[in-house]
Amino acid sequence: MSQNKRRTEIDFSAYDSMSDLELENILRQDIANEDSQIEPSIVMYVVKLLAKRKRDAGQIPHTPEAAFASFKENYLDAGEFIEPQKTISFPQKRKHWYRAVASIAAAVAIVFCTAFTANAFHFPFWDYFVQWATETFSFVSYDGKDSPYQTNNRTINTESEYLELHQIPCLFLPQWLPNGYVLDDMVATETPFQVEVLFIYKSEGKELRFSIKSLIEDYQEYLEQSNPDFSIYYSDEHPFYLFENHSKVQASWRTEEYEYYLSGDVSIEDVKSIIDSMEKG
Amino acid sequence: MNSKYMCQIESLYLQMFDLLFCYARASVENDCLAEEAVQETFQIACQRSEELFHSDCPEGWIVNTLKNVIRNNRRKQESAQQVLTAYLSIHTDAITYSADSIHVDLLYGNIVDMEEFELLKEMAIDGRSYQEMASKRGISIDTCRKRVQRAKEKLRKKIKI
Repeated sequence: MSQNKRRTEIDFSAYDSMSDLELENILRQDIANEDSQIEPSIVMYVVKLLAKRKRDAGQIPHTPEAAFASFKENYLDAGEFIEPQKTISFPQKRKHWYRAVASIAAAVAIVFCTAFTANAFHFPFWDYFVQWATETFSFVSYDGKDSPYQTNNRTINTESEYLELHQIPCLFLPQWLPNGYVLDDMVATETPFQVEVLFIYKSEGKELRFSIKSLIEDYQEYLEQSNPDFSIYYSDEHPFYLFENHSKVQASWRTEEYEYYLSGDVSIEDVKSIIDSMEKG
Repeated sequence: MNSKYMCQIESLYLQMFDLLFCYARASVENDCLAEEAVQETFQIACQRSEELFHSDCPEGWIVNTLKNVIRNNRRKQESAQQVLTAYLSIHTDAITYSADSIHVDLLYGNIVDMEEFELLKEMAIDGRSYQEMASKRGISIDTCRKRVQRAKEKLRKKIKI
């Protein structure tokens, strides 16, 4: 309480008339004396006053922005300053949001009208509607070489067979892999709108993942990276985005209908060789 | 470090740079040393960001840290001056003769590398900042600091301070 009273009693205007040298002396005393008796509010007032005068007189050599850039460059370890995540955004089709909203509204109206009519004829429309979602979302997995994936009495042994099963064109499949890497698992994720297939290759504890995802309209993928740098590698005139994320080399590319993503414990040269080995169609 | 804290540190830096620079400049010999004290303060802020942003007043925390940084730097400079003075008083030939004599003595006496000695001298006697010395030699500030520290340790051992 007494301190607050003391604070309110300080007449700061006395400092306004002091010269720069006098103000600097106050600060010098505050720094020099370990048990400085100078009121912190006075120190802050003096330092703000001095800073304003010096900035106006052009006596501060750098702008705060330039000094901060130098700080980042010279005083922080690489990677210590985490930039806000930069993203690579793929070119996307023009969005017609109003069309999408109108389509959804029309679809909802049709569903309700249909349900109303069906109910009038004692047809259990909603029971069928509820069942709509069953068996439409699933994970299907190939669990290693010794237990090949089987469906409808058909054995799936290769990536291309697995892609055929999910009606994905057998393009951009790696025909070459770095030494030791073998197919370990195949996983497919299906929804009514999208299918994603993931191939996992392993070699002595190291992993390489290759995924293919079908694109839906207006789909835009953001790839988060710890390292903002990326390069574009062209193979058979097709662009492949190469970048690193948490020490893993990654590659991503697109076709009209699918997005591909390759990531793993391999070198950038290996990734380029994998890309070169692919049939691009 | 958490990116959330880094954004806060950046905004604190931009907001407080002028104040801190003026505060430091009132007590150190030149602009470079003042700026270096501010940079070191924020380096500590980054390393102890949890503590900084859980304190009642982050601005006050920063000012107090700067105060300690300035005091520590002064102590380091005084200690380096003390080591150099002691060394030069023992080896009077180093003062009497030309710079080459110091060179030969230092190198062939296997005491300290000439560049390390120069760094120590610039820091202790000429009051240069690490940033100035590092950019002049194309080395990092950390490397510069280590070399100065190494030179000081070697000389200290030699003269047994």
